Amino acid sequence: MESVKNIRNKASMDRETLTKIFSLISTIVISVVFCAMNPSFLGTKNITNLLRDMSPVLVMACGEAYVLMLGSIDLSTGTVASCAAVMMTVLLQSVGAWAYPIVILYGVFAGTMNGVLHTKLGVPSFIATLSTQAIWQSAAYLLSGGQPLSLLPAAWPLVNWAKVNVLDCIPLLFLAALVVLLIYSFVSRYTGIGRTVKSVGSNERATWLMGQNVHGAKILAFMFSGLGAAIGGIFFAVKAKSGIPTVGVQYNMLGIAAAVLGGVQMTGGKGSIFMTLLGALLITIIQNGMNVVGVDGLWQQIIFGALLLAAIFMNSDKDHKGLIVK
Amino acid sequence: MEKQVHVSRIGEEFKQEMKKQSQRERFISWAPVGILAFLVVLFSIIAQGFFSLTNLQNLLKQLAIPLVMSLGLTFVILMGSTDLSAQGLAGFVGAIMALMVVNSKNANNMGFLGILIAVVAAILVTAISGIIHIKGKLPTFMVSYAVSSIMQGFAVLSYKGEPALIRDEFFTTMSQGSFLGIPYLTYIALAMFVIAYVLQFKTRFGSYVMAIGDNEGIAKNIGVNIDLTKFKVFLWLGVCIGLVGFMGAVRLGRGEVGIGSNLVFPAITSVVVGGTSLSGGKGGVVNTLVGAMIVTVINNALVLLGVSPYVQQAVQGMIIIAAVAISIPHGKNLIVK
Amino acid sequence: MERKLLMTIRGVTKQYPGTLALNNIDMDVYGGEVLGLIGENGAGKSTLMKIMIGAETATSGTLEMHGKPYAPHTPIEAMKLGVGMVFQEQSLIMNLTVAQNIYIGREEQYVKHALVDTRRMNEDAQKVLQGLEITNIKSGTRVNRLDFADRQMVEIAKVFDSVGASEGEGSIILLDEPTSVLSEKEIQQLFRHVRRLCTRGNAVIFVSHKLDEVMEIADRICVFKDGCKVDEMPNENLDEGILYEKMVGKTASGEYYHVARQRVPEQDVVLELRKLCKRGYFADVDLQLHKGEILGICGVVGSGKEDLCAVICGDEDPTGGEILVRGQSQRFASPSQARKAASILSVPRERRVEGIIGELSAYENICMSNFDGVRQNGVISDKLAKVQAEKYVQELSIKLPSVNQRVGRLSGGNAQKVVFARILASGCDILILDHPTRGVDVGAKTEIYSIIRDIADQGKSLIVLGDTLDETIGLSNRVAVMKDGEITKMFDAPPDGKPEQVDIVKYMM
Repeated sequence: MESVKNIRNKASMDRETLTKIFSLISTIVISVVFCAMNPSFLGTKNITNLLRDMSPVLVMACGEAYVLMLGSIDLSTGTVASCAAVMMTVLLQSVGAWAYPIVILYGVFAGTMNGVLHTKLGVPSFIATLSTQAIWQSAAYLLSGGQPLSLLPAAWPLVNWAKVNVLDCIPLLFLAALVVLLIYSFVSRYTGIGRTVKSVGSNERATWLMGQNVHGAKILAFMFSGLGAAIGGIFFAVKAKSGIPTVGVQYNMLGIAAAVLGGVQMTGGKGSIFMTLLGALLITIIQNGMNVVGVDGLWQQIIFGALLLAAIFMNSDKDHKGLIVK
Repeated sequence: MEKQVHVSRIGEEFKQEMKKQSQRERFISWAPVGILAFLVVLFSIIAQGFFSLTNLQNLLKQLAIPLVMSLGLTFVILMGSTDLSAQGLAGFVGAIMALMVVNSKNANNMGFLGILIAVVAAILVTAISGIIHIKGKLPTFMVSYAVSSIMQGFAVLSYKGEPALIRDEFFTTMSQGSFLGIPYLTYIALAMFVIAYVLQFKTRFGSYVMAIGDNEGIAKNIGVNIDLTKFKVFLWLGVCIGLVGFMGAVRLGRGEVGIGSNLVFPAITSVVVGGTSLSGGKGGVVNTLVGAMIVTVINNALVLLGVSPYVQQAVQGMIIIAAVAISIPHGKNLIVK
Repeated sequence: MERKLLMTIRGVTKQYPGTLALNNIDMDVYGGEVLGLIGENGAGKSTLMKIMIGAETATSGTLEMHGKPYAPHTPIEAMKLGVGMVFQEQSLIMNLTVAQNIYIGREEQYVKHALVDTRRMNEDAQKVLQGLEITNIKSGTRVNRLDFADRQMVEIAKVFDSVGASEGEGSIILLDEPTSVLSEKEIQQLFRHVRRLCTRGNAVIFVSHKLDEVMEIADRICVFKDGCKVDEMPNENLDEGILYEKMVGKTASGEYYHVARQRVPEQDVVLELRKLCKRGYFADVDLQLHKGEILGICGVVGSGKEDLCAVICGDEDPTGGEILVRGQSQRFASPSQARKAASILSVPRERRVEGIIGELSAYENICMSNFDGVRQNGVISDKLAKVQAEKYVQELSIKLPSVNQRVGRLSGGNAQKVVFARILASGCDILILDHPTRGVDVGAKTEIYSIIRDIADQGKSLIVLGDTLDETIGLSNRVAVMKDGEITKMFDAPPDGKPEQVDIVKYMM
């Protein structure tokens, strides 16, 4: 009995590493392939592009990673980002730079709302976030009148920072995303509530009885996810100087995929926030590389779906015999 | 003698609690019907044109697709799972079906065979995701989420850019035509309802799904073949999604990925609002019929009231949260993921 | 009447990690008899029944049914071989009808063209119910419309019918605490069915905490204790006193529980319960816990002791009454609040699912109930956490390769010591120990008793629900006895005058 348990623990520990190794090898192999097909793939210019494209995925993924770490899921990040992008465009034109804090607050609010609905009303996370996803989609459409909005040139000075590259090759946007990642990672590792998030994912019942604030940790995780999504939305808006009410939709899945490819287990408790960097990198390389080598962009969704499925499969506990999975 | 008194105190209280709980359950199980009646009365008063024969026909027409979709999901939810794959899969079915009947993009003319192929494709896909769920022990909504994305990709890829317009006259008339005042598509939906009803109440399959949703451990002990039953649930889901894809394409007149968008969410809303518990083992197809009617009535009335169509989704979102919050068991130490 | 041997059990042993649940059991079951099984919680009755219905397999030993080897792997298989069990926790599907529940898994005879002939099934189910003189239940009703006692009758009817299907050679029906939700009248009705079944050559095994009922219905009584069958006797001229004496476990020497180290608690009351209630679980509990005191609570399953502890540590809400901590009335929304506001923490019963986080390392587990203890500059420091863990590993002599070891891989005793390390690191001073030595081997047990004494020496107060009655008595300054949700008796348990187990059992059952 004891020894069976040992083997199982070992196996599940290796699974997280396995996923990371898979991601790492895929990243390298895919980069080499793309580079062979089109040498400009690893050119400075493209790397700069790649890092810029990666920024929204990264911030959304590290927020989502928090929720996945709980063993829950947030399906609303895509539309929160869309809504944030639209809000950003609208607000930049009306209140100027105040748009940034307001949209960030919106993200905190949207995330906290998910957390409260989930913990206080006991609504399963996927249904709560599926519902708020619908609500924010409606809001995005209402706010934009259903049409993509472009930012008026008068407001451009407020978003030009997104074009700035540090040392000529590292976009400021990416550095901003990195700061978010580091903060999220820090909270996860060095604060009590951050640690509680992870232990809730491993064993919610024990964490509760150990006298940790389980509900607080859950709300925090959802809040971070909403915040990450809103920052992602800001990035979309400042990058493209526009607010498209559907811009974030497919990024919900990309965020989840990036987190899982970085080693976060969808059933909770395992993985690290920081490693979502790897997942986000892999995803962006595929996205960007396919454009560079001229593969039909329509394949992307298929590839990412399959990649997500593979990552979930690799990353989950399958050898627990009596496990009931719904 | 004193002993007897002790026995009765806690025992009585326990019995009372059980009774209260079952009364509450009974009340909740009738609530959807009450809500439907209330909404009908309310909208008849405040929404001009709601209470009319034309609108009744409209309602029946609007009911068709969400009803079939939610009948498919009912069994999935009854056993405590969820499925999001319809989003991409229904679009895929619609797209390939449009490409196989007489259409604007190619010279195919397979007629009913085309529909059959499309529906079988849907069944295959749900069967595969069912197997991944059962054998891989991965939660259904995760699997279906990824599958949905993949199928959406294939759907877009199948017609590359411009979706195929359906030119087959049989199908173009089908979308508009009606018999005895009831639209053709609604007949399909009602037929599916009858089949679903028989499945739930007249077959072993129905009882087994209920048993799995109520308590999978007990079901296993009773001798229910869990894996096989789950697999059958996914086959049924495939049939429903296949039909929905077909109906959506016929309704729209073209096969595009958009058929699947805004499909899953109203369907889950219908199932849950009808009183089927997300944790499984409670409710069923009759509840779903009521739930689908509620959702259809609300959407219809919102349009009549001149509310922006963008708000519809948000309204559904709020309804579903309220419905789940009311029907789900509460307790501070319950574990909900 | 010629007694026909239905089942023979020879040398059945069941070993769980750390505990021997059944030790070399021999037992015969004869057709036409009611066999009563009695014993304390954990004496091995339920394990034996689980083996008999195929829910567990014996580590060693053999079972024979009708002279043939009998080793079912599932309850279904057991049912087909003629052994069925009425579970204490009901196994009915709430949203199916009575008839569907009675025949679930056995519908073949009613299926025609893939459809179930509901009418015929309902009629037959009604006949089954009538056969058991159950007239108030309609077979077409959904089970969730029935009250609890009726559900129990359906459950019984289901098992009676499914083993009855293989009747003829003689079947065995196991009843596990079947009367707990039944009224006096229903109990009598149940007993009539039991007797009638027996006259047809079947056997009924009856397990109950209610000795008077066992003595009323059983022809023969087997007494279990500590995984052994200690006695077997015909139900003639017995009185409850004799049975109590046979049931109670061995009394270990005072040394085992470090009774010499038992201290006299101080006068200050740290925790007081006033008329504390949780509807349906316990009622009007008044208790006082003093500083430095170890208070034992004992009672059978369903006595409400576990629920009482869950309420005290904030896991569940009371429905009435007051909890006073150091004189102040408190209400806890969560164990987190109980820990922070009242310094209350529990050692839960199900260690692997409630007490440890198996995927985390020992040092991470140990700091989980108090991050403040391992902060440096306001930030959690793994270094400090490791230092703290090292300290406790030494103090409690936890056997670990390193503090980075995942706790899920530790043996029961060491994992439990990690739990105690966490409790000590939390700094809490009202501790609730729910079965602190469950699944722990003997050596580790006495070390844990010593840790418990240390904790009391630090002036902390403990409530202990012992794994055995002896343990509760051995450790405690006072012992509260609970029965049917109420405290029926309070015993003083000073080192030189520990109460006898037999006296306590009388108030428990």
